[in-house]
Amino acid sequence: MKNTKIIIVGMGGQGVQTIAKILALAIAGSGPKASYIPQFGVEQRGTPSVAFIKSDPDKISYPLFDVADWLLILHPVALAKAAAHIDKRTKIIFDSSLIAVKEIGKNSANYFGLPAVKLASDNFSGRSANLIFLGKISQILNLPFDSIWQKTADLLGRKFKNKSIKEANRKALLTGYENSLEKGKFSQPTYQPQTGTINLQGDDKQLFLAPERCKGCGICLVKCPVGAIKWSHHAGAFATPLPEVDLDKCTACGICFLYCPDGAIKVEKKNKKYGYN
Amino acid sequence: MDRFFPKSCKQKTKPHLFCPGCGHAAILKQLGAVIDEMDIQRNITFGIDIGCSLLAWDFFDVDTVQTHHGRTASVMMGYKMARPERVAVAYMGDGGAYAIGLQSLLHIALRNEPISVIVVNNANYAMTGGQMSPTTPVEAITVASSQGKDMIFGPGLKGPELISRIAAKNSWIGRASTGNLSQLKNMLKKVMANQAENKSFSFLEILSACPVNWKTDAALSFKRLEEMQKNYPLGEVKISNEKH
Repeated sequence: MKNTKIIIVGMGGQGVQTIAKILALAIAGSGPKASYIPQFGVEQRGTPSVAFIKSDPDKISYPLFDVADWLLILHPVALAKAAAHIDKRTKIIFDSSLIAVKEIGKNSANYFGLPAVKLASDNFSGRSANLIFLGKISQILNLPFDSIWQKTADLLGRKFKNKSIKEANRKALLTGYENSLEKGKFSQPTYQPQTGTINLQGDDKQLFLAPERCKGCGICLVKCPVGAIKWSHHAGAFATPLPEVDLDKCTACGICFLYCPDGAIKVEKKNKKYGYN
Repeated sequence: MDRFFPKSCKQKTKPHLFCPGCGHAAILKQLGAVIDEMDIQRNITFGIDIGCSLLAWDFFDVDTVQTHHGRTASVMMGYKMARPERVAVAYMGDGGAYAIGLQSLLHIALRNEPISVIVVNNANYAMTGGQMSPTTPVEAITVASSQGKDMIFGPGLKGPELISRIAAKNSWIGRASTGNLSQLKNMLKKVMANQAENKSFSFLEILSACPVNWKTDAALSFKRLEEMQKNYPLGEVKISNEKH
C-alpha cells in the first residue's frame, strides 16, 4: 500500500473517531505504519468531529496534513470543516442519503455517494451508518474483511451485548464492504431528520415530537411507567433513532415530557391545557 | 411559543449543546420552570463556570455571566453586593465548586452572603474526558483511575455536609438528584427563594448523570445514580453549626 491520507468528518456522536481508530489499527495490522489524530471541540456531542489518518510503508514523520486523498463526509454539519482539506485530486465519499451533492461543491468528478444512513436505517439501526463507511473505505484500501471485522469486534466488543447485535454490526460492515459507490447519479437526501414538530393524533391524546432536538438518550424509554415508548427506525438529529409512542398504551402521565432533557417529546390530553410540570 | 421548554429558555439555541442524556439539561429545564413560576426572568443573574456548566451560556433568555474557573460564587457575591435587589445564582460543576473553587465557596458560606449556589455533581471532570475528581466515589472507574479510585485519594467529598458545619442557621442547604425531578424542582425553588426570604446563603448539590463519561445507557445511569444516593442521601441537610 502506498502512503495514503484519509480524513473522516462527521458529527460528534456518530462514531467518527471510533471508525477512525479501527481503520488506523487495521492498516497498522496489515503492514504499513499508521497514525490517527482526532480533532473536535469542547462539546463531546453534536459539533463537527474530524479524524486524520495517515499511512506510510516507511515511517510517518508528522501525523497531520492539509489535503486528503480520501475524504469521508458522514454529516452535513461538518461540511465547512471538510472544505479546508479538499484539493482537485481528493476523492470524496459522502452520505448521499443525508447530504445533497450540490451542498458539497460543483466539481462532482471525484464525488462518490454512499447512502449509509438509508442502508443502516432500513436494514439494521441508524447507529450502524459509520460501520458502513468503515466497510467501504477498507474495501477501497484493499484491507481483507476478516481483519477489519476482527479489529471492530476487539474495539467494540463490550458494546455487543448479545449475538444478534454482534451479527447485525457484522452485516452492516459487510454491507458497506460489498456495496458499490454511486457515481454521477446519487440517491435523494431523504433521510435528513425531519424539521419542525411531528404531531400524532390519538383518540383522546396527541403526541408532539421534535426530531431535530432528540439526541436518542433513551431516558423516555426507561422512565415510561407503562412501557408505551419504543425505538423507531427513523433517525433524529444525532443520527440516533427516535422514540415511538404507542398512544393506545400511553396514559398521558407527562413523565416523558418531564424527564426529556432535550425538550423533544410531549403527550397532551386533548382539550386540556397543561402547564410546565 | 415553544411547547417543550419553559418560557425563560431561549428557543433559538435548541437543540442545546449538552450530550445525550446529560443531567445538566434536565436541571436547566427545571430551573427554567422555576424562573417562570417565580416570575424572575428579568430579575435574575445567572453565573456559570468553566466546565460543562459553561455550555449553559445560551440556554436561558436571562442575564448570564461566565467567570474564571471556580470563581463563579465569588463573582456572583460581588454582583449581589452591588445589586442587592437582583437574584444572583451561581451554577457550577463539582470540579469548579469542590476542587479549584472550594475556598471561595467556604468563605462565602462562612460570611453568609445571600446568593444561591447550585452545584451539579456528576462525580468526574466531564468536559476534559471524565477524569477522577474529589467527588468520585471510592472504587469508581474513570479515565484517571482505571483500576477503580484508590482510598489514598480519599472518599467522595460531601459538599453539603461540609458546608453545613460552617453555614449560618438561616441558610438553606440540600441535595437533590436528576433521578427524581419533582423533588429537584421543589428544592430549586427553595434554594432560589431563600436568598430573598432570609437574606442568607443557600446551597444545592444535584447528583447528575454523565452517560458519555460513565459509559452508561439511560437505564444504567439511573441505576448508578441510585447507588450514589446510598452514600449521598437526598433531602435537606441540617445546619449543624450552633454558634453562628
